[in-house]
Amino acid sequence: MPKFMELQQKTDRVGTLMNEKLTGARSIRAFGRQEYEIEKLTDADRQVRDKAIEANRMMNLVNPLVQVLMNLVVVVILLLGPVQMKSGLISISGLIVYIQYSIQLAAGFSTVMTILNVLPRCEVSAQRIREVLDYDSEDISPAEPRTVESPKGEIRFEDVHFGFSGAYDLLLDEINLTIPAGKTTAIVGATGSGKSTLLKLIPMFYGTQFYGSIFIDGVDTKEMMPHELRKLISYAPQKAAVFSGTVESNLKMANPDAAPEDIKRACDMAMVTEFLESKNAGPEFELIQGGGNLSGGQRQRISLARAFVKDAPIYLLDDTFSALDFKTDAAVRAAMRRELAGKTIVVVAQRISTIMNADKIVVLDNGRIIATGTHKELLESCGVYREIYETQVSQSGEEKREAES
Amino acid sequence: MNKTKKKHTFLRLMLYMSSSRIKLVSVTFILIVMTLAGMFAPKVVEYLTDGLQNGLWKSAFSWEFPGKELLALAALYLISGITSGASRHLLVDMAENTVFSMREKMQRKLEVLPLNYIDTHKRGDILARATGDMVTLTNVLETNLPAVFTNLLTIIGTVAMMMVTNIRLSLIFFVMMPLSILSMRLISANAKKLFKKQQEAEGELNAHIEECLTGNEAMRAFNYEEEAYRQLETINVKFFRTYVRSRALSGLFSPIMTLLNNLVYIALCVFGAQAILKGTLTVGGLGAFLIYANNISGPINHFSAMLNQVQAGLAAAERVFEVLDEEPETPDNPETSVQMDETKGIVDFEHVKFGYTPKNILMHDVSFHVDSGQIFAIVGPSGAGKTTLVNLLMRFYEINGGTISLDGNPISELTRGGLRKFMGMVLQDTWIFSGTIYENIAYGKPGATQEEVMAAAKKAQCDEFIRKLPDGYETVISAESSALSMGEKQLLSIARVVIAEPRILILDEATSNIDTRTEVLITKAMSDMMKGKTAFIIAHRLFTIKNADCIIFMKDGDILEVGNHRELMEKGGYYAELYNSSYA
Repeated sequence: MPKFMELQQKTDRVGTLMNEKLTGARSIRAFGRQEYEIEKLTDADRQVRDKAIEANRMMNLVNPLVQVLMNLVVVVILLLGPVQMKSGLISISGLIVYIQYSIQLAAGFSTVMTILNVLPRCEVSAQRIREVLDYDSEDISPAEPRTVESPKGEIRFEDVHFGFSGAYDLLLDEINLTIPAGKTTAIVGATGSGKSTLLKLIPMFYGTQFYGSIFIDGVDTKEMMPHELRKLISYAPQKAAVFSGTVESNLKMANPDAAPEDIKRACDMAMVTEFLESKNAGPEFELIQGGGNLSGGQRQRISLARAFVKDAPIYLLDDTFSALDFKTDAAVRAAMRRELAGKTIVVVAQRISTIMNADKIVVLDNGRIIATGTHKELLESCGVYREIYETQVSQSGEEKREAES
Repeated sequence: MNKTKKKHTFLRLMLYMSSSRIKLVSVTFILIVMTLAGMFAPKVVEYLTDGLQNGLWKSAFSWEFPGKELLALAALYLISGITSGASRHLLVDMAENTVFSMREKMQRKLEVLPLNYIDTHKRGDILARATGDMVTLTNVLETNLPAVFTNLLTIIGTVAMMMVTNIRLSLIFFVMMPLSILSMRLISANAKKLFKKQQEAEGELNAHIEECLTGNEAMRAFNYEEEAYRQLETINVKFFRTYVRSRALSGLFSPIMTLLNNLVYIALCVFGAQAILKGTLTVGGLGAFLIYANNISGPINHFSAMLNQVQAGLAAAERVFEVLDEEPETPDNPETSVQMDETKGIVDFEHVKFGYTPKNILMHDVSFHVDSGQIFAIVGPSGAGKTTLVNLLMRFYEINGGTISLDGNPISELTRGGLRKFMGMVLQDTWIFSGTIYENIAYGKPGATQEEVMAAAKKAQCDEFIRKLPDGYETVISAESSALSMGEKQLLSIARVVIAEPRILILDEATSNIDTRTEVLITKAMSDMMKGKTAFIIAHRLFTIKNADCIIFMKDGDILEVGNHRELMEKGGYYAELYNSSYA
């Protein structure tokens, strides 16, 4: 009965639309589209109603029909039973028992009918579960895994190309890059230029589905166990993830053995301590699911602190400064310079001020590396970089230069 | 829910149901006929079997006996079949229509509720009321509520028929039945506790899974999968155990019930046989009585479970009504309000006082003047009330004192629609709804032509990346869609404002997710669009507002500094400090 499947889909759609309507309440009112939204949702609701009535119609016909047929059996027994009685094949009490049986049988049938009605819905659910279970998960463990002995943290991209299957354009095109050990490297570029993708290839978040190789201290990451590889890396994602529990339990995710001093140090570095103090709380501060009781910037700070609490040779920070105000941004950077000296740090950032002190800056454009160098070198040689810098620091660009001279 | 409230909810629900009075009356009538037909059939069976025993039977097809009796029986069965089908059909129709009208009311309500309601209530909770509760209610209305009605009818009618058939047997039945009900009660009290535990475990499980999905990257990066899996397993095992236990107990229900019913049955047979021997009962009478006992046990045993279901349905209805009863925004009155066909874009705040609750005043006394075509920038630390300020201008909230006016007209004297049609707002959080890119842009201007959409996309620098997508403007996207980056989604929401061609622009941190290079292009497009228009800008990146005609620095709901960039820098106050710390 695909009708119930359609009903389920229509009900799901109402859920999706409702969710959108609630998240977009401000936009809807700003554009004055309330009537349109009411009509859109009511139309979806109407479809649910009509489909439900339609899906039930068949059942409302079949069920009573079965019931009537089963009951008519009693009539037939009473019609034909006496003939058997006359010939002595059955007694009157036998006949009564027989009727009782047939009533029980009818009850049994109606139970079966109920189950048959539920079955198609189960089928729909089972189908959805199967979709997930059958999805090919890729095993990226190499046959003969290698490890990095005494890691220094040098990362080398060799002729890396990457694109999602089915998409037109390559997200990363011919990436050849050495990220030196113990230094800070920054990646800048426009939206969609591939900065985050480049970063995510290092801990194998996209598996081995890229062309070319990435080496860490000379070992090809494709030859390493993902588990071992990720031990070398600490990472803060673009979308700061906060888990329910305390600040401490969130940090311990990255380093289960962290001592209270380690937690404190990481909280200080990422300016978590600062906002906790304003709440009169410490690392035992309870976070609700999704970090709902924190602002965007505070979530980012938790995510940063989590990355700092892990002692790894490589730190990957994916645009983790975007929601921080300038003061906090500067303070966190200063703490990193102090505490993470000698570590390999790769930073994706939008603001030039965040990265201009980096040892090496990589400029990406449309998935290609168009320039690398220090801030000073790039200002001289790279037009794109200069453009970004000038618009950020001063719109005319003159003022800053005046100040410098 | 207390009793009077429950009663109130029930009556209100019935009021919804009775919107089609003819259907309600006919379904009640049909259900009564159905129950009566079911009740009289055993009586006819009794008459038939007694006739058989008394030797009335001549041949299978004689009209005197059993022809007309058999025909009556067949007719009763047919009637009960037809009425059952018809009542189901009517009930589904009524329940679906009733809930549909409630859904429609809900949709309307959600658009007139103050934004504060939506902001301060958990989205999941409102969502549950608008979807899950509605489904529960539908099921209760089309199944459980009528079942309570017919069960009650069946019980009353059958009891009457049993008494007519044999008083003594009836007494035995009425003594034994409460015993079985009592023992069922004992079990179900225990089951309730287990069910509660099971629900708790289920909630925990869902929360954990959601977290694993949203925090997936962080988990993998820190090799936390094993640990997360272990946690999942613990919770899952807990859920499994409580589930099995509660199901096992509730699974005991029906065998125990059958056992108890059978005990009653045996007692009836024993005493019935005695009565037959004494001649106070006929064989057919006992047969009919046993059928009645069989028919009544189901309704009695399930009655309390049904009532529980109905209670759950009433609770759902109550939750829906709660939303419907919320105080809406003060309605606009198009007749008395000021009509403005165009605006110069002059905005004045005079002694504006505002708090989300009257007790908790956030803004005490805010005044400023923005001239036609000026760029007005608002800066300050988070929580200073920057977003609140522009929300007040949009009249998303009502102020507690003072006046906000547009070209000298207090905005409270305009209709909300009349005010907002002049405004274009790009919000902090981008909003993308499921639909094509084309639809998402055209949202800003109903009935926009294809050319207008593409022109707006070009102005907002969207055209290029849209064309790269496999289906171009027809690409279906949604909020979670990974086809677009955050920046690209923001560009789309800018295009949506561009196409609306507003007179006044409000940009709330609109550029925070866009990289600076794209932002340069946007800024150019925006400054084109801003020409001759009034614009309000809230931005963290101070360079975007250096050209503003007026900058205010806010903190804790108050304006601390006013001036243009040069003046404020010379003053060397809060703004200067903020600006200098940006490029340290």
